[in-house]
Amino acid sequence: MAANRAYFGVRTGVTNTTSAANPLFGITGGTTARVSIYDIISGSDATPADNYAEFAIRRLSTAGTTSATFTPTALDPADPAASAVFATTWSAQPTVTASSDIWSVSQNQRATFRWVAAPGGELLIPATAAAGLGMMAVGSNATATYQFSVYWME
Amino acid sequence: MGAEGYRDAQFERKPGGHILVDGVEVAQTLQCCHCGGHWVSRRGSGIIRGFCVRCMKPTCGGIRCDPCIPFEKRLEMMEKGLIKL
Repeated sequence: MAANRAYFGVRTGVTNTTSAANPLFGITGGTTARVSIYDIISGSDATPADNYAEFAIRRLSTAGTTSATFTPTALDPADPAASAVFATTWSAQPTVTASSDIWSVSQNQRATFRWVAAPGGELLIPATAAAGLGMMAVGSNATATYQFSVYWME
Repeated sequence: MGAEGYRDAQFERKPGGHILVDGVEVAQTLQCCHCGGHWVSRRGSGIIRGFCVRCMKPTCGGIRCDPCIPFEKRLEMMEKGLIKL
């Protein structure tokens, strides 16, 4: 299935409390199309300070019970609504697959970090119900709030 | 870690992705052809990665990525429920 519709999602003001079970946000695809993430931007929206934070993207095998979502924005206004769900909080957490890191970064709180996939290097979510990717906080020397912008195709 | 944290990053001729800090490209990532994972190659890190001679592409070095199951095939198996995520 052609991945030619681009969407945007953002998670703002999320505290990078280290956890192996609670994603900072999660993107869950549908059964009709694969989701391919091609651009991730992260930075802190807290008062600038010299702290490090480490983040990783891991696979989610269940979607959990979503209590808040960001409605994905289609970059082309003529496109239909995204099939992917951009979840920001849950009342029952999704299941994070252990040892499934497919992307990880360390960044300074003062720096804005961006990762852009080369063509063919996107992070893919299979077209399977409840399959997804979650952004995990895996380490830091101090907590702060961060903002993540994500672009994907489906 | 700011841009200085990527001083030991190795230049990649065929990157899977690009890392920009404050708008400046500081490193490239490689992508595992079996799990789709990305990493930054760092000179002197001692981390052992792999290379699939069937795919002719690097692998992340994880045990589960030793057998050659191309990522596209792996996605299809996930979608058919043959393997877990």
